[in-house]
Amino acid sequence: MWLIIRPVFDEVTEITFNEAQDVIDYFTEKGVAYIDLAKEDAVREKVEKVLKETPDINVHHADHGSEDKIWGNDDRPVIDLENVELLRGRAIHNNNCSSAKKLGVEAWKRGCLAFWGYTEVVYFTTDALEEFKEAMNYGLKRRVDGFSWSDCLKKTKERMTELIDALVKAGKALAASCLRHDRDSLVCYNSQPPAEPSCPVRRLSVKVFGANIGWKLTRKFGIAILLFGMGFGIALGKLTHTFWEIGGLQEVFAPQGDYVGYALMLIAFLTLIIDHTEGLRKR
Amino acid sequence: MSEKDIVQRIKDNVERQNDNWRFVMGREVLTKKEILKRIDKDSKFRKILVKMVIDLSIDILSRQSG
Repeated sequence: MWLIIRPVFDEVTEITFNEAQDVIDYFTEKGVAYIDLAKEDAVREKVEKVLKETPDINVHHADHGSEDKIWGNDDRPVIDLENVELLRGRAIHNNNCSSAKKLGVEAWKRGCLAFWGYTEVVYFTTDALEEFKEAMNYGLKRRVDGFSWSDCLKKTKERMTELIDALVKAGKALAASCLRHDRDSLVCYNSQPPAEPSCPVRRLSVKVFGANIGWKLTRKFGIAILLFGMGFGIALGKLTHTFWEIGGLQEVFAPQGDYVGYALMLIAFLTLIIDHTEGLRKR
Repeated sequence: MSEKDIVQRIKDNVERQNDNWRFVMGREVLTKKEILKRIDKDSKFRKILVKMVIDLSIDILSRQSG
């Protein structure tokens, strides 16, 4: 079952509204159930209500988007970083700008099954509206046909490339340039984790723990690891220094009861880390 | 071909479009006249268009050679 969110409040949303109608027509043809929140119904409260009351519903949004939100009919976001948790366990297919950049990453981190969208602003020209409509809806239609999200992404990019070539042949070079731009910023966080992070700490985290865990670790977790490492190092350094003062290196390397205590603390800490990261992996 | 030449070709292409033609970048909807004006005045916008055209050329060339 799908929730269609399609506001109309400017020239662009008139176009995305019609593109969403094409999705609805396909759903009807294939017998897919859907709830249509169109125009003034496409507002935050109504979207949240449907998502809370219908746990297995997926989302298709056709409107403007920003890096960390997707918009509703009343100049307010319908989903942003405040209520992104509502996407847990669902798929969302976006026909909007930039939402895969931050909102998509956050949704994926919180267990969104598939976040389909664009990492950049979407471009198009009005001399090729049919081609853009086909490109924007192609992945969702293939999903309805039963393909995996990974295959949908592959097939959509292939179809977009065919459309680009057709537009070039038809003398619509600017439309083709726009579609090439859109194709390259199209992602689906399910078949592929978010691209390499720009933050060096996050990059390290992804390298050490892998994409599935590294992307989901919080800043607090990183700070806690750092503080523990510093505190543990200082305490152990102080202890070995005391041993050295008492009996030199021989005393430092002698089997001391204190070392057992430190080893137990370290084992307990590592166990907690493993337990936490396993929890993140399953999320 | 220099950047100047590419810009000129883009302008020629835009001028050939009909008056209802629009170029949409997210929330921005630009008419023929607005694009031609911005290409001359807005260097960031000009660079975006030039990059789009170069990227398309590279895309086509790399697929042909691949």
